[in-house]
Amino acid sequence: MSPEMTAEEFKTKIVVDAVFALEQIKLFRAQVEQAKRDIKDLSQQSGQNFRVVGTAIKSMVDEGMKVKAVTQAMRELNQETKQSGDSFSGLGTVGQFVFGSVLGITAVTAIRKIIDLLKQAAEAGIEFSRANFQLEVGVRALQRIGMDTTLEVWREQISKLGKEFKVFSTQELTQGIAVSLLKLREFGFTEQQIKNTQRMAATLSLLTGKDFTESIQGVTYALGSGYFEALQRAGIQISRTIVAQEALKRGYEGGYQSLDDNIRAQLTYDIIMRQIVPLTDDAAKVTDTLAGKVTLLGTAWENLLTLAGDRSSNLLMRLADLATGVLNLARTISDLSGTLYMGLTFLVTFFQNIGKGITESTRLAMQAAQAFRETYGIFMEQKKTPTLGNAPIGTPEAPPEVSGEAIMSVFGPDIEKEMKRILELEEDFQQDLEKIDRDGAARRKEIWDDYWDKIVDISLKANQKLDDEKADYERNVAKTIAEFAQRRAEIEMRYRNNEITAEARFQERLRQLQEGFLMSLEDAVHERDARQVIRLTKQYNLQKGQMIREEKLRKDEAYRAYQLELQMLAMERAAKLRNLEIEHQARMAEIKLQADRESAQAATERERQLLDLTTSLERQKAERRIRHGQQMDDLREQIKERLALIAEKLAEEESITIGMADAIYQQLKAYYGEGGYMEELYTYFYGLLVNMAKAAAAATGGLVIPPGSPGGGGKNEENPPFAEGGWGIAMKPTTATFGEAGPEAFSFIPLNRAGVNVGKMRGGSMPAGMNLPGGGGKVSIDLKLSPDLEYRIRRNALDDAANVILSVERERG
Amino acid sequence: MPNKSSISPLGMEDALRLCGEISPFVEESYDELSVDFIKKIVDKMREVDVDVYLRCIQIMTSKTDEELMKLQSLDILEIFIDGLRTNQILSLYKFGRGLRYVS
Repeated sequence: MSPEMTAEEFKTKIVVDAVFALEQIKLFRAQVEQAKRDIKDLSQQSGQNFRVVGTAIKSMVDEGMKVKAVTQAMRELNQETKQSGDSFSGLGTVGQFVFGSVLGITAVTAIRKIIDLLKQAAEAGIEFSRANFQLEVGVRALQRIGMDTTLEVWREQISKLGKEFKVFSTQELTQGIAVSLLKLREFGFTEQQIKNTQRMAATLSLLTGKDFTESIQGVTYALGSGYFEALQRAGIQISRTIVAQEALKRGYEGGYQSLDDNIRAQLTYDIIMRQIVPLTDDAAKVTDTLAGKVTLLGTAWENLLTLAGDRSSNLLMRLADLATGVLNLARTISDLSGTLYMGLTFLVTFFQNIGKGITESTRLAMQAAQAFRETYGIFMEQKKTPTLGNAPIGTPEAPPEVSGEAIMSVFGPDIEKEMKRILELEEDFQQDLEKIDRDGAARRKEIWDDYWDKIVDISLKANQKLDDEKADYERNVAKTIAEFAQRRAEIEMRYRNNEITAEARFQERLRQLQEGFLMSLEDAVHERDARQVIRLTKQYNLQKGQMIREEKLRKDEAYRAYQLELQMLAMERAAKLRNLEIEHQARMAEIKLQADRESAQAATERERQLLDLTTSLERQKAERRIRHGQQMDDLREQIKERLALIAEKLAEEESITIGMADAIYQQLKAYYGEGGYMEELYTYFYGLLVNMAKAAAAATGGLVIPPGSPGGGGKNEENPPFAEGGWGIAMKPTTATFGEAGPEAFSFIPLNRAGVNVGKMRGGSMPAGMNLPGGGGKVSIDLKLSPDLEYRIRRNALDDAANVILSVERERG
Repeated sequence: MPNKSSISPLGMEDALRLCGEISPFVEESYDELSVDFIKKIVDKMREVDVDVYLRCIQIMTSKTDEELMKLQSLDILEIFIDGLRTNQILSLYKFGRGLRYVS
């Protein structure tokens, strides 16, 4: 604050300055955001990176503010890209090759989640395969004892039970049914009776909370061995005595032990069926309870894993290996905390990014592979060697079994190295272009600064001249006015002096007349000549009157002359002032015209300098582009030479023929090419994750899902009740009521920033016996699931799983 | 001048004082701390009472008038923005309203 500023002035000043600064910040941010949008749009349209597009935009704008905005936008965009690239700087060949630098740091966490999923999926796939095998064995066993049945029948039964009893996973049902076929085959049951027994076991499972296979075991033990504990626990009134009584009713005599195994099983079956049929419908409703829904989640997840594991465990394991490599080598890993929806949406975005990375990596890999193939061909042509490895040129001999990993182990480091060099050259090139632009912008600023300096100088000089001219004019006007005032005073003085003199003379003449009259009158009186007296008197009066009249005429004439002289003087004054005004205006116009001429000359000079600068910049850029092209050509030549060397060494050491080179090319193509392994992997996982996100979004109706994201939609309740628990995402200020049905924990997690109070206990102490985990340490992964989620996922995933299983098995059959 | 690290969350009493000072100028239509939101607050302060601005800074920093008058306008603005962010002014405002501390 300046020393003379008062406190009140200071308060006003800081507020006014704040308003101005905020306005500028707002304007600048708007320009930055617009520039970012423009750069992104242009980048997408042109396929160029942000830096190239941003530099191009900068060269098109002259205003300092906009250039700053574009620079800031580029910085922010580059920062975003850099952040995603840095976390993968330490990756191995395959990791960098596949994932490039398109992923953000949190993607690493997503990869970790995927690895877990993939491992579980692979295990589930194996278990499911085992269950399928057991089912086949069971069906064959039934066929061997003469039952007319097929595998298809039991798959339909699995599907039917799955629809009726939603809490059982396909794998669980398959396993249980396989067990039931093996256990029931010796009891002489019909196909329908076996199916009924399975349904009975499913009902028992729901009533007792045991899994399906365990219930099957319980029922078969009851049927075959008379172990009824499992059934009794479910409330079925059955015992050996009851079976024996039932046997007596039907005419079988003797105790339980004396009954034939098949009859015992049939009687037991009938007793159980009578009691359990009325319970079945109610039991199926267990899925409506919270416990049932939790079970459904597990089922859905198992189905999903089964589906994933069964469809392409090979692909999954490969991706798991890749992802594990990425994970192990990633420099920093942060934990994912948040919701299932956020996690799924993130994974979808993550895979979209992987898709972009794969596209670019595929392109580069195929270029490298193509180059290798061509170079190898050239090398072979140069060698003019008819055979290498005992195979003729161009004749594909039986290609060796070359795995993608093996190829990458040979070519990966070289491809990686060359890609790095290409990127470095590109980086240097872009930096040089940016420097040219930066220097150009600085020079452009200098030119504009010089121009404005000149304009200011011209303006200052012109203003000085105008001020001088105004002062001169005012001085001349004042001088003229004074001069004429002096002349008027002189005229007035002369007039007055003349009048005084004339009056004095007139009075003298009157006195002389009077004196002559008096003398003549004295003579006439002395002579006592009355007539003379009268005549003299008349004559005197006459002469006096004549003199007075003459004097008046003179006075009038003198006055008119005086007035005329004054008028002439005024006219002369006005004319002179008018001339002064005209001359002044002319000189002012001349000064302004001169300034305009000088400004126009400065602008012309500025335009010339800017044109020269633009030409110079274009020339520098063109020269740099040519040099860049030459460098890239040199690099490509070096790559060819290196690949030729590799080819030569391979030919020498591995006896690789051109046919084998073709095979390697085909392998690389199969790995990275269009429709290849990577693309298939990506497409599969992307689709899988989209479905998961949709299922999660559909299940958690309270979620607010951003438009355009997979699974968008869902309902949004204003005040969802939380008495029975629940969670959601608030995208606007939301009022929620909880704790109305007893103590409840609450937690608020800002999603767009790090909340400093996340994890801290608020609002009083916990009830006795309830403790929160200790603060600090690593944040754990926290997937919060809606009570409805399981059912929704289950409904979608189960259908998919069943369809896949059936299609796979049909193909096998 | 107080740097960012020296702007720490206020205690309850000061936070409510800040809430009371600033609440007449807060627009409820905003749900995040944006430049626009801050500008509207300062704009209103300029129209209604410029003293409030400095009083808010005093609450945020516990500095005297004399100390604050040694700072540049932009430094003060930075403190103001940082103080709003650190004290989560939107939540504070809603909290104050919930308590009926402010209207």
